[in-house]
Amino acid sequence: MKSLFKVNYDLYIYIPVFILCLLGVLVIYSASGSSAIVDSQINKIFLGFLVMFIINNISPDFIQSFVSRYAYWINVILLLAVILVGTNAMGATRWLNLGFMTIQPSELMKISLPLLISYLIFKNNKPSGFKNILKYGFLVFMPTLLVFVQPDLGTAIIIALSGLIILFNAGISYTFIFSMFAVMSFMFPVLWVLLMDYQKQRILTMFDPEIDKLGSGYHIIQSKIAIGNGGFSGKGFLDGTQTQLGFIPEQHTDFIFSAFSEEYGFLGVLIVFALYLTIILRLYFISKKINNIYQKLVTNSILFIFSFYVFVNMGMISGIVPVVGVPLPFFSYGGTFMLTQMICFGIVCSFYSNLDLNYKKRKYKKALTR
Amino acid sequence: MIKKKNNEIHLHQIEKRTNVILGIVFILFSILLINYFKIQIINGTENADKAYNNTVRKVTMEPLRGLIYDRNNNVIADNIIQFDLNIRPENIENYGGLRDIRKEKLIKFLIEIESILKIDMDIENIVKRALSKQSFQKTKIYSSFDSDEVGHLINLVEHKEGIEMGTSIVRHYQYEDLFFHSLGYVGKPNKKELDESEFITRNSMVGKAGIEKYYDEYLHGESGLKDIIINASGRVKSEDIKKMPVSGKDLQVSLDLDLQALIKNKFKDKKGVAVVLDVNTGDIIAYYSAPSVNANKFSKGMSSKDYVNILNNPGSPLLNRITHGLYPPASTIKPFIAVGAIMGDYIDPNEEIFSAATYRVGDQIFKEWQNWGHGDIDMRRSLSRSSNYYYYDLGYQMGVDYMHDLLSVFGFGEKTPILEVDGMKTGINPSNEWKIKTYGERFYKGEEIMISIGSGNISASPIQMANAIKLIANGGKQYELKFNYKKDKRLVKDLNLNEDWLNPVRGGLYDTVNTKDGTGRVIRKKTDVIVAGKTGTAQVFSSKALEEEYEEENIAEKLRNHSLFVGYAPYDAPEIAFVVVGENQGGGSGFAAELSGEIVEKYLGIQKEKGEQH
Repeated sequence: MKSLFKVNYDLYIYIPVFILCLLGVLVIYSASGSSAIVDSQINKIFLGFLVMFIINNISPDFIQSFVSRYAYWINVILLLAVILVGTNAMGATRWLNLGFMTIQPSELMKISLPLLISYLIFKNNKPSGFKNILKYGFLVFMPTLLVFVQPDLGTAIIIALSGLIILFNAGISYTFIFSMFAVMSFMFPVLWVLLMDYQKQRILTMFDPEIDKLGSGYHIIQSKIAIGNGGFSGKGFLDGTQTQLGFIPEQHTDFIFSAFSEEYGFLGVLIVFALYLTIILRLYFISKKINNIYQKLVTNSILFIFSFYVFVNMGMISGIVPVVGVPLPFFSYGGTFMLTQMICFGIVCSFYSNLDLNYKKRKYKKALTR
Repeated sequence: MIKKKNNEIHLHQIEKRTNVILGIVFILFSILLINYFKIQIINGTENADKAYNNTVRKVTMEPLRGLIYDRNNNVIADNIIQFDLNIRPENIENYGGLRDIRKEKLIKFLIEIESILKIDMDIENIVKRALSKQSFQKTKIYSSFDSDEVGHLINLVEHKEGIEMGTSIVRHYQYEDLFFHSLGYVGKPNKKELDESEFITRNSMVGKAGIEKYYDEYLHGESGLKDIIINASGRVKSEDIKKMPVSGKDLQVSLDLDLQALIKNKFKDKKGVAVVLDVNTGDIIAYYSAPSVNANKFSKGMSSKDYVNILNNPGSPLLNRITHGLYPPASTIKPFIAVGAIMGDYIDPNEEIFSAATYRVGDQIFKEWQNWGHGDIDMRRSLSRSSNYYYYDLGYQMGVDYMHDLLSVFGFGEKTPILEVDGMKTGINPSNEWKIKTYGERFYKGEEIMISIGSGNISASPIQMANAIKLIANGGKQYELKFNYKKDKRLVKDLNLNEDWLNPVRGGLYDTVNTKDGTGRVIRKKTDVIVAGKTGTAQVFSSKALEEEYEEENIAEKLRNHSLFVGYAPYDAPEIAFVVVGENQGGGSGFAAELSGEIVEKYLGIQKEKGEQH
């Protein structure tokens, strides 16, 4: 009970996140040239930190036994609502207007889903047996499908992965995984037919951007030129020609790191890598310390999804991953995404800040089982 | 609890899998890092070049084109500011969408503008040009040299977004059609011209024809060079001048503005040619082919409707009749036949022969133009009265092949050497070889004698005629003809014509103008300068006309004879040689001789007065 009166925070997470946010603001300013966008991003960072800090100080028990069980279902209802009464923008229906604010339920699903799966595994143990796996499969793919039809392939893949990685982590047998892979590869042609034309195009152009130089390949080509133009030490703040003259598409959102790479070069890229790795290693360290299965699974899912975001975004703008419209955590401009990341980290920090309690509980439990 | 033991998860199991996950993350990050190293370090220079090429465009800056002066320092081609009405599609209300939609909106907009301004616009063409550019770039829809007019128009559409006034510098020919066939005109470069010169860009104006084309480099000057920095949508962000343009040099041509104007006024809507040459230098003093075209239409750019109108004009104004119009030389050939007769000893110029009303070859009868013949005439009189009989007889004696060689010496059937002009028609200077090649048979005697009066299978261009008479005037010095007044004369060859061969002929040419029954006597009324020359009347009507009564009034204009005159002046110290061809203007003693007299009076008469005043 001591912990209730203690202010919890974790500088190993807060500081690198803060530096990344600052670098992000710098590039957003350079890329958009708009102080309105910068102001808005600063507000979002402030709000994000506030949310992270608050969640940091919420009891993990509350998250585990309350949030985990209901957030998912509420989120599914919100996703259904998006399909029925969602706001359409740029050819996709992803947003829900709540009157006082607009939210993107698919973003929240990235945390709601792992929370529920982890909770269920914690409760029911190992995901094995046909019936059991079918249940988890349903829980993972229902929201995935709801997001896929929006259409939002990138987020759908992340949601699916955020659940599947927990099943993997919880020890689903390799035999099962490989047989699923085998089935998937047979399914691929079917899936290909289901993809929208622009999604197919994106995948094709990843393999050879030159086939569509002026269409979707143009973005990748220009983005790679921008990154390469940075060279070792970069062109300098506000001096990247690709960035300043608008050759990079969506350069303050999805392609923000192209702009960063151009202006700060390979040196800057290394620094950002170091910051991301610091966060990842910190998450790994926390995961090691945690002895609660639920918390461990949630933390690992967050670790993986966070890393996966970084990989897909940086890979997509440098031409080794298809352009799926995935933002770069703490860098890209955008509110809901920033908030989701902060919530995730707040949850992990909450776990870590209350480690002692868990440890005691585990000891107690161990004593009981003996 | 015990029942579920198999299913229970152990923390160490999870940790094992966590390590696998971290391993995967490390592999993915390594791939990323290698990829960034490859793009930024290994291919860094290459990508930096690509980035540079993305944004930097090398643009040439057009120099001011050199002016063109006539021989008396009158400007005959310069550059002036033109006031344009431009559209800028991005400013048009509700502009945007797919190409077809934009096209529709543009057409609607232009139709509206057209109805407000009540001006002629080639909407189809404007839409095509506008759509080929970015929507923030302007497209010209109307232009005028009159700023008030354009200002008035812009006031009418003041409330419309997307239309604006601008200026551009264009080549201007203030005498419009006066020098079209000599100066030529400038225009936008075509693909070939763009490929051939590194300094020519889409914005350049290049000489398309005539002097403008021949002296294009000289008049054009050196283009400047600048780097412009553009952004992804093609907008110019900044520019960096690398080299300032150097204006083109001015050019003085040997043409005489006043003389050209006189000729044009004389022709009015008639068709034909007048060329005046400087016999001592080869300078071309007048060079007018009627009808002509307003050169500004080409340099400013015209609507396709205007162009079709020009093409469909029955007078073929684009045709340069001086070099590409072929006419039967008619009696203007006689002086050259006469020179050949003396050279070849076919006749003693002083010997009088009886010129009857008809000339007979076998059972063919050839009529003299004067029903009763000319009686006893020598060579001088044969020229001044333009006897056919005298030349039928010479033609009969000489034969076509001798005449062919003779006329070749005077440049018939060959390209006339003009510095600035290469393309021209050479006409037909017939020989037996030619006849066999063309018709598979030799000349009949009856055909041969037609050649000697410049009819039948012979044709020549006015420039050949002018050049040939020039050779008689200056004793056979073939100077290269030229428009460039400042360039030194160049003797291509000297025919070294013996004065004894030329003088009887020159005498005949003198008599033509200066005796009271000479065919060119009308010239005396026009000028006091002593002129020598020869009339010619080219049959347009079929050769049967020779045997029928030819009455000018009763014949449709296009079938009327061509009026020809070749000559030089002053007689004793020739300065100029000239040719006048008036299509369908009747006999050579009429229109052609009159204009010749006026030309001489204008050019030499005034000069003489000036000389006396000083």
